[in-house]
Amino acid sequence: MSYFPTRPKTPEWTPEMYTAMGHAFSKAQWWVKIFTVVTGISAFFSLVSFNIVGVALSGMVLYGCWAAWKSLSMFEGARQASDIEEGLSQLNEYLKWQTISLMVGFGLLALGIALAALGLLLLFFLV
Amino acid sequence: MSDASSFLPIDRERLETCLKWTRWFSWACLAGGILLCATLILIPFGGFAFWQYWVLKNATESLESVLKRNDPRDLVMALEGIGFQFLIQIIGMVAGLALSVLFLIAIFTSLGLSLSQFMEPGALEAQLRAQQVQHDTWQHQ
Repeated sequence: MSYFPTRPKTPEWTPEMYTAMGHAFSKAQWWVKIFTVVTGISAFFSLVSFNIVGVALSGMVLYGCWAAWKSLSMFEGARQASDIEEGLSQLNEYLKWQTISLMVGFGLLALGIALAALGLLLLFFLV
Repeated sequence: MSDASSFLPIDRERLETCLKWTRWFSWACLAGGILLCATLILIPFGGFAFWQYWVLKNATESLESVLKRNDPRDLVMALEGIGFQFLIQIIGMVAGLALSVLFLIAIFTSLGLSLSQFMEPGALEAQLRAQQVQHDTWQHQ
């Protein structure tokens, strides 16, 4: 008899498990749809306000959304490892472009904050 | 001791790529949260970024666990986390767009008000005359 609590047995990679994985990501189906629409609106706003950077960033995210859409269709009704692998490939594409756009966006914000701080310092010392 | 990951039925490379980008994504959210809070006026948006960082950090840990322990339940949790971050991002983006629209309305309203003041016949002259009178009064005093 063991005096230590044992970890529950790791389940097998069965078709049911692959379905659960597919379902876990497919639950976000509506959110992906809404996210694509919101990103589209954001891209439109950037376009009408001649915000080229905004258009570029929204474009990257929209490309990511397209990959997420494809990923959803792969995960849906997954029954074997290859379905999950295909879904993961598309999901990786979404994650990549979303990360790049965030990094560029926040990099520009950092630049803006640094310039504003520099301007304030100059104002403080010169005036 | 056998390496549990060698029994992983899913291509390890794809899982590692997913782990890499999820980790970078979470770090980008953390950095963004700090930057947004540094602006002072965008602190609520920083909160969304931190929330997203926390969700993605958990997904990263789950993905690491899949590679280490070969447990399919961890991949289910990781995919749920990655799916959930869409919702947080939607809330943040909608709030950001609403703020931009309010900002634009405020700019155009103030522009319109200033223009309408100058567009009224004789408004500019009246304003200048009033300023001159005030100036004369001060000089007289």
